[in-house]
Parts: sequence; structure tokens; C-alpha cells
Amino acid sequence: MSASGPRIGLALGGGSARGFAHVLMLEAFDELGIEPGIIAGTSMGAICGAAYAAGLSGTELRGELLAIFGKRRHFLKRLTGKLGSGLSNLWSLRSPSVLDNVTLFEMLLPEAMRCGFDALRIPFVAVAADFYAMEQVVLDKGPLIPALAASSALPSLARPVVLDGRVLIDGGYVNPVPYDVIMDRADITVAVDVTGDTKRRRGAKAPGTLEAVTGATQLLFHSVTREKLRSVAPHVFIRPEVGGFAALDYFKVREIFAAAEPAKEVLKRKIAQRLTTMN
Amino acid sequence: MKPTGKALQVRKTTQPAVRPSIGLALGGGGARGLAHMLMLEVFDELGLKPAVIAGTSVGAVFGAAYASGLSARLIRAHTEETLSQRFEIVRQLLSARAEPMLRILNILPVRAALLKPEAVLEYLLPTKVARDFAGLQIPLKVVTTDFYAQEQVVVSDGPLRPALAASIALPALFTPVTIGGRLLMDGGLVNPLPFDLIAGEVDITVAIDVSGASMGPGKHPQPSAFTALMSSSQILQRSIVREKLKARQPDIYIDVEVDEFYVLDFHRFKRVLAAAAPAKEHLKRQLARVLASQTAEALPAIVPGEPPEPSPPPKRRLPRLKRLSRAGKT
Repeated sequence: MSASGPRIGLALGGGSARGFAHVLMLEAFDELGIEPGIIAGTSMGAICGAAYAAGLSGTELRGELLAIFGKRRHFLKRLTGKLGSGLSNLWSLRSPSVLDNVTLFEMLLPEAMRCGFDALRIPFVAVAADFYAMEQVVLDKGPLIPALAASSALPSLARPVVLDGRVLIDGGYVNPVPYDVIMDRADITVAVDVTGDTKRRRGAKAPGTLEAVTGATQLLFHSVTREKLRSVAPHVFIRPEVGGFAALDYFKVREIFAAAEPAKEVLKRKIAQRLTTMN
Repeated sequence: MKPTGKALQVRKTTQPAVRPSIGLALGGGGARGLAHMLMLEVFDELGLKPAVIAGTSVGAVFGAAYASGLSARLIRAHTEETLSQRFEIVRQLLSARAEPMLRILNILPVRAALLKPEAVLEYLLPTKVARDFAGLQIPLKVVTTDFYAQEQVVVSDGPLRPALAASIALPALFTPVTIGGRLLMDGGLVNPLPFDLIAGEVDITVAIDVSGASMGPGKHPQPSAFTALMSSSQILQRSIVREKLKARQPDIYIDVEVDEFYVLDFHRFKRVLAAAAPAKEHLKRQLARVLASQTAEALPAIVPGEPPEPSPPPKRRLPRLKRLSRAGKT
């Protein structure tokens, strides 16, 4: 992309495992030969966005994720191989929330991402939620990994991350698809929502507690995005068909990639159209 | 917030001294919703009656009690008594911290461990609350969420209690409620502050937001997993309201500054009410001002954008308000 072309802002939303779909959206940029001028990410969107901003291509990120989650066996091996004394840091049952994201990410994320925001090739911001202030915090400086850990600290699964005295949790709770934080820094804003389809399949029985809670949380994410779209909309809004996957379906990484294929083509077409109309 | 904008517009099109209709939206927010009682007191004290009420979750419950014709004072007395003395078991269930966590983790037999919201309401509601929407003195819209269609369902007729039960049915604590073949849950999942449902029907829309209050940055402890989970749904509801207000605003918006975080802290009754006292005064001033500008015949023109406070209203407005107040009580 020449420096004189329109600047594209890419916002990648939160959705846990469903966020693997972002890989295909990044591949779409690679295939079009276009580089976003700025990237914003929430939760899994922050992890994928940061990887891309650090210089990994979409295809390289695909490879990394397959190496980690492609086989359960490998995942455990990778984890235990690196653990050593880290185990007690990672799983602390005494601590109320079990998983320590910072330790986990130090273990799993590729070398290229162990840097500061200022070392990234593409400007990048991560969105987290200040738990007590109930408000959005945009992270754009300092070491990358703690910021990504905060942005994806899903309550009750992962421990909140304390940064600058603030107790931070998953950014999805304040801004599931953070296109609005970069709109003023881009000519074209592209938003990817990976919270999935809004309809749920009706089972024979009433939903169990876990299904009810996860479904309700998903609904709340949707409600935030729906209300936001009423006041400000991105130029391109993509919603890959990943609704059939649960938030924690990490080991279905291949299936999630496959489900996001059609959205990748839509994204490529829409960006191409935008660029033609602007020129 | 420009409470006077719409008021002026209305004054042009209606007869002078005709009382404007008020629509009241009471939002969801668990224990913070106890603050709604204070807001209803404002209506009683000013001698005003909302033309329509929309409520979500705890807002629907208090809205239903008020729409049934109960005074705010009576509702408050009943709630206080119920929560502090009479139903120790219910109170314990509502404030239990550890147990719902076990339910969420599916350790306990799930369906058996959940509370039936209809049963809880049967215990908690004053007996004078209407059984059916048709028995209400003020039309009421109850916001619920269709779990499978993932969309808002507004209930405004038929039996009242199932609708209220659905509106408060927070997953993990309450069982969902089936109405008309739809599986319904807490309305806060889609519309925690439902002023948009009544905006078209009235002259003045009043919205009471109990979705949260910032505790600000600072030294806070790491929340427990259960607290984090319960509060996170509150943060999401807060986010919905925030985004919603960017696109549309009610005429009077009251953000109740109760920084009680736990959704289930119904036993902190007095603290919630004390924290909401300034919001009550705020609502009273706002309502009095809007009504004064609507009903007085020869008011000096208000320049749009003029700050609403603190200039005291001209003296000649006061008799008018007093008269209204008396008229409203009869």
C-alpha cells in the first residue's frame, strides 16, 4: 500500500475461540496487498491484531495457532514443556480466578510479540475494561503482553490484570468491536465482529445453567454492538459465521478457520469496492 | 442533557397550562434498583402521575407496584419489611455468594438449585399488586429477552406476575420463564434502560438509570471469581446504556450514583437508599423545572443551551406548582 492511499483502520472484536476467524481477515489484507494503517483489538481480536502488527502475516499466524491448538496433545506438551515451576503461577486455585493470562501468554505467544507497543510495525491499540470504573481503557503503550492479557481476561476464567493501579478485565465488556476508537485515525474503518450469529438453536429441554449464562453474555455483547451501531457505524462491517462455536472451542481451530472462509471473500470484495469508489 | 429542549417544543403545540404527559422508564440493575423507590416518591411528592411506565428487571417490579396504585411510601415500607425481617430464607438465597458459583460450574444439580422467579415474586410483592396488566392504573411495559431469538420482547398485557418473573430472570440465579411459547429471561440483556419504548407516547420521558456507578480508579482488591462474573454482566449492561445514550436521550436522565457493585446485595437496603438520595433531589428539581416551563403561561423564553441550574425559578411559578401538586393527589 502506498503511503498516499487511503488509511485503513482495522478493528478486530472479541469472541474467544471464535476470534480465530480474524486470521482469515488478516490473510485477506495480505492477499489484497494492503496493510492497515492502524489496528484496534479487543480480547482475541487484540491478540490476533497485535501479532499482525508485530509483523506476522496472516498465514504465519494461522501456522502459530495450528501449532498451539491443532492437537490437544501438542498443546499440553507445549505447556508442560515450558512450565517447570510455572505451573503454580498459571493455575492458582487459591486465587479466586484461576488462570493467569500474563503467564499463559508469556508461554504461548511467539517471540515477535514480546515487545512494547512502540516496537510494532503497525500502530496498534488494545481495549480493556476497568472493572471498578466500569469504563473503557485504551492501551497503547508499554509492554505488549500484559496489555493483551488484560484485554482478554475473561472474568471467572482468567485473573484480572492490574496495570497502572487499574483492575482490568476483558475489553469485550465495554467494547466488543472497537472500531470507534480508531475511526478518527483512518479513512476507511473495517470492523470484524466474531461474536457469531444472534439466533440460537432451540433444544428439546430448557437451557442448562452454563448454556444460559454463556448465551446471555453473548446477547449482552450483541446488545452493546447493536446500540453502538445506531450512533456510529464503520465503513465495512463483517460478521463471520462462527456462531455455531462455543467461546471455549479452542481445539476446533480448523473448523473455525473453515467457517470464516466465506467472510474472508466478502471482506476482500468490500475493501476492493471501497478503494475503487474512493479513487 | 437538555431537559428544556423538548419542553419548549411541546409548549408551542399544546394549550398553555395543560399538564404534559410523563413517561417513566425504570432501568435494571439488581440491588441498585432499590433506588427506584425514591424516584417514585418524587412523583408522589410533586403530585404527578406518569402516563405510562416501562421497566426492566427490578425496574419492572417497582414499576408494577406503583402502576397498581400503591404509593411510593407504601412500597418502601413493604420492601424494607420484607427484606429486613420477614423472609430470612429468601434474603439468604439472594445474598448467597458461593452457592450460585457452584451452580454455574454445574457442581450442584443444576435445575433444582435455581430459584423460580415466580415463587420469589409471590413472596416479595405486596398482595395489592395487580394480578393482570388490565388491573393496573398506569399502563406498564415490561421488558424481557427471548433467549432463543435473542431479541427484546415487551409484555404489556395478560397476567402480570409471569411477565415480571421473566424480566428479573437473571441466568444462573433464576430459571427462565415461558410465555406464549417463548423462553424469556432478564430484560437487561437487551434493554437495561427502556426509555425508547415510551418516547413516542408522551411529552416528557424520564429515565432512571441504575445500571452502575463508577468506583473510579484506585486501590481496589482483586475481585473474586464470582464477584467478577456477576459484576461483569452489570458492566455489559452499563456499556449498553452508554452506547444507547449516544444515539438517543430521554428528556430527563437520572444516573443513580450507587456504587454498590453486587447485583444481589438486597440486604444493603439502607446504604443503597442513602446513596441514591442526591439522585432523588436531582430528579425533583428537573421535573419541577420542566413542568414549570410547560405549564406557566407567560414564562420568559429559555435560550436553548442555557444551563438548567442553579437560578431559582421566578416566584410566580410556585403557586402553579402547588396547585398541580394538590390536584394530583385527589
